[in-house]
Amino acid sequence: MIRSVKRISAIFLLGILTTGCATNNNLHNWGNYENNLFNYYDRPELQEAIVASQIEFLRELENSGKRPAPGLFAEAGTFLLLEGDRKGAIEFYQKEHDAWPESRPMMSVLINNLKDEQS
Amino acid sequence: MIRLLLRSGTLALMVLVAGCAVNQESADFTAFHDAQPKSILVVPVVNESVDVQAPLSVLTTLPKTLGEKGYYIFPVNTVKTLLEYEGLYEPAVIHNTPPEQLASLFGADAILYVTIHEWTAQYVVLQTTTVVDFEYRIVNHDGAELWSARKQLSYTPQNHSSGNPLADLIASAITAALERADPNYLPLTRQANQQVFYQGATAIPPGPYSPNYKEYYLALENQEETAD
Repeated sequence: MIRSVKRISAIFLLGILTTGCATNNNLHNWGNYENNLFNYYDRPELQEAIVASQIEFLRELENSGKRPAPGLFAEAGTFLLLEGDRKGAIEFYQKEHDAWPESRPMMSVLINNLKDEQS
Repeated sequence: MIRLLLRSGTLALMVLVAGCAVNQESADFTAFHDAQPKSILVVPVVNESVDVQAPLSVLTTLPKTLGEKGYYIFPVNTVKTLLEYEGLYEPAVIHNTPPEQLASLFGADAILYVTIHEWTAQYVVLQTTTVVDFEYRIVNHDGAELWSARKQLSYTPQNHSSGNPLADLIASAITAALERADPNYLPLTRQANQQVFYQGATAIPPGPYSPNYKEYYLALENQEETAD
């Protein structure tokens, strides 16, 4: 009985995992952004791991010459800023600035303020 | 800085009154077409329910829904963090801040406001059904309303049937337990967002990064010419 419950929950979890990564006919590369952001808020003990995985995802995309979805570079910048890494924050805000013209007013202000604080 | 620009009671009252008036689904996109926004600022979600995760779930699933429509969506957590730096912690206060101020602070073409009127999880022996009621409003950077929608939805997580009734019974009890501990927030809000922004009379026009953008506005121009 216990074994069958275990097996069923394993099948069930597998079901969740497979539906999680079903389609990828997307306009942009989002990776695991939605789940990661929700868990970032909901499970603070996972924050460090989530930030690392978001940054790794962005680096991988960059290495293969792809652009991440709007906002993802900036979110990584903010994650780093909240960890106290201003240099990293500036780097990612600059990437958002360069990738998406619509972000430029906001990113320029952020980058300049952070640089002013540093100097 | 923004705090100084906040207006008190009267504005809040006006917002509340306007909020009640937009229950009807509208198919009038004239203002939206004229404004043709390229970027949307999604501000933190007002939560009238007692579920603290509900607004986070809504906020988390909006960028992809709207980004896939072709709009530049400002990074929601970065926006939330910056507003907090400005002393704006309360979504209700943010929603009552003049939209012109918010739009110019971020350089946004339009702002999306979402309010959760209801989020109630009902646990009934083997399944949890969550009943929600969301209100969505897109406002132009000059403060004019471009679009609004209201979505009521009853959501029950889907089970994967094994073909064995006893196994299904146990499996759905497990689903219910998971749903209770950590309700399936994201699938629910994704579904609500999807229905509102992609389906029926409320579906919004494609944004500039959509492959259908040019075609859409060209067809619109032709329609207008024929009408003239």
